[in-house]
Amino acid sequence: MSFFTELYDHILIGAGVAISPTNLMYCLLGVFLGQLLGALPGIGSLVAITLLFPVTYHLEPTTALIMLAGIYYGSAYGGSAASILLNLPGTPSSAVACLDGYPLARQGRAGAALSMTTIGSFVGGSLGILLMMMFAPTIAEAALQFGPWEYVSLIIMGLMSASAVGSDSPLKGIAMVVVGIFFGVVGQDVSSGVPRFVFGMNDLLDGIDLVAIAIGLFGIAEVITTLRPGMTEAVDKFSVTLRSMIPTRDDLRRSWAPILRGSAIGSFFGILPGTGALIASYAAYAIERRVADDPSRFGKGAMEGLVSPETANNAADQTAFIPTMTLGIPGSATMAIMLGVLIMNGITPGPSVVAEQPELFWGLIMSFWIGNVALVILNIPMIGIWTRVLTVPYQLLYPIILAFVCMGIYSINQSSFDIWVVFAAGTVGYGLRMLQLPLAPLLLGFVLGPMLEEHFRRALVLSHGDFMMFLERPVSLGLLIVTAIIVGSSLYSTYFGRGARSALLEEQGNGGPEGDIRP
Amino acid sequence: MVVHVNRDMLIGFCLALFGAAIAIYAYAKYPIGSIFRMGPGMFPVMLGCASILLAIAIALRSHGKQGDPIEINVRAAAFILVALAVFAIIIEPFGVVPALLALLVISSGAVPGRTIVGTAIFSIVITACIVFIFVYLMNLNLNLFGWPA
Repeated sequence: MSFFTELYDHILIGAGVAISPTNLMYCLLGVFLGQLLGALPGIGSLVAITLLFPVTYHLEPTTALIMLAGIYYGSAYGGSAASILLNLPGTPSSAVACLDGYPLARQGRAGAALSMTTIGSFVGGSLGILLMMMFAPTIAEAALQFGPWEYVSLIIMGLMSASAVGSDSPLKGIAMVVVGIFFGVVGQDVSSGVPRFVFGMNDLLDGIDLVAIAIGLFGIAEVITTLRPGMTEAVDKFSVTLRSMIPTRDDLRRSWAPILRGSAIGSFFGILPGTGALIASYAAYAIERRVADDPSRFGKGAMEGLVSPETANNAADQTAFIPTMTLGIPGSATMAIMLGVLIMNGITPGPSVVAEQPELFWGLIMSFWIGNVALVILNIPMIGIWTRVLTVPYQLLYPIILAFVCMGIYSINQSSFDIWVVFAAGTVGYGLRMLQLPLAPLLLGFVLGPMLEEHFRRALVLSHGDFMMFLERPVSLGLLIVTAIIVGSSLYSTYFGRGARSALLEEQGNGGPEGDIRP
Repeated sequence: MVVHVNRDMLIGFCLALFGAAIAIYAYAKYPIGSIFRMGPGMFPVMLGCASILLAIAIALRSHGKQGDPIEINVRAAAFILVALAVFAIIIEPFGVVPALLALLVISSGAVPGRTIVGTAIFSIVITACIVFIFVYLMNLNLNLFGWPA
């Protein structure tokens, strides 16, 4: 019973924070911009957050976090619009929506498709928020007992999940993690003060700037890749009226179960560190097909195939906050940026933040409710605007993106060195894309690597070099077993069966996002 | 530009080189310490060894595969990366406005078929908007026009 009274108190605290005029304004601004940028093809949540991050730099930490979160889950709502109307995903996790969303649009049902994904997204997001409200405090309390062994196992689990799950080659994923950890190591070693791999460049003493490397690897490389020759094909324009957005009873009947399934699947993958909305959406699609009465309808406009992945990616995006806020371990590259932003603002997320800064934590959660409701409301009248936004040709868009990127990065430290980091990261990122190596594990390795090293060193000092401690402590052992299961099953499915993702991509046939992006 | 290469062999090769480089450099330059008290060099060496092992595994798995074509968009990559570099070079001595103009003009070259006049107008308009947003809306103190001292 006291659990509920505590929860009630927390809700009140959070609501008070979330409704304050500043926070409310920035929340709405964040979801609006997030949805707008998410809808534009080529700009996913990661690019959106790094583009708008300079705006938040001068805000209070709570407000900044609320706005960034709004951008984050807002872009999950917007991404499906481009998938449905243009057959081009607006965000990587919306790629699956192309499969059944675009055929629906071609059948003249774009409006219903859009409204059903909004409903599904709202339900998914809501479930995610509820889970966060119920379980995050408990997890945080448990995590207070964690020692360095648990953190090491947790980070390893996150990194292994990120590289192994759903990827075509777990080996390459792990290799990218290792490379990423190396880049994270660059800088002054915290324990000994020795500058590592700095080569005399003093700007590197604090390490490579997270935002710069992220925008270079993902944003710049994405821009270069998107500029394929022959991009200027004519775009089918689908008319979307308010009337057409009302779903039929058949749509609703078909969709409620996929929505529930999608929410569950998404929440699961969101909580698991290392996996997120992208995997959730693919898994949801695969599972829908498997449980459908008539799998042959998929790929031709099956509402279930559209609604379940879109629900899953929203649920995953919400629950991804759980490991990030309660444990300080980001679940995806985008979460890593949020974590970086928080640290820049002087807040180190982790078990103590939930207890010591309830206004931040619960204010954030209540702002999720406000944001999700706002997104549903925004989606209905703004549909006309979205469809017009989507017709902006990419040729005009990308120089603007580049200009925002450069100005944004420069405005943080007023240092041209950061631009050079973007340049180098962009070059490396493009090279890796050409080699078809996954980029997200690299960024996760970059963020988590230093943490891993710190905890690993401390663990060994505390246990006097005893490696068996990692296996003797129950939580650590449990996490390592889960890791082994995850890696084992994905190795199995890669080498002995067909991964759902490669099967999906083969059947899709035509274009989707190139390379393995997964921000 | 289309390049035919056995991608995985290339990856394995680069990764092995990378791993060897960092392991050797770290071993030579930074104190390693013992397993009880790890020095700053220990972790990079471990990373290097892991890279080499992974490189061998990746290269072995790909043995015998024929090269897949990789399509590299050299023009786009060159223009965009050069634009970034020029921005980085220009911004401190010359200020924000010239740097932005240069960035926009050069990056427009990444896609063929742009007119000079169109590009110029576009660049000026966007520069103005960005200056407005960043300097006036966000109240940042930025050096708009600088001259080398």
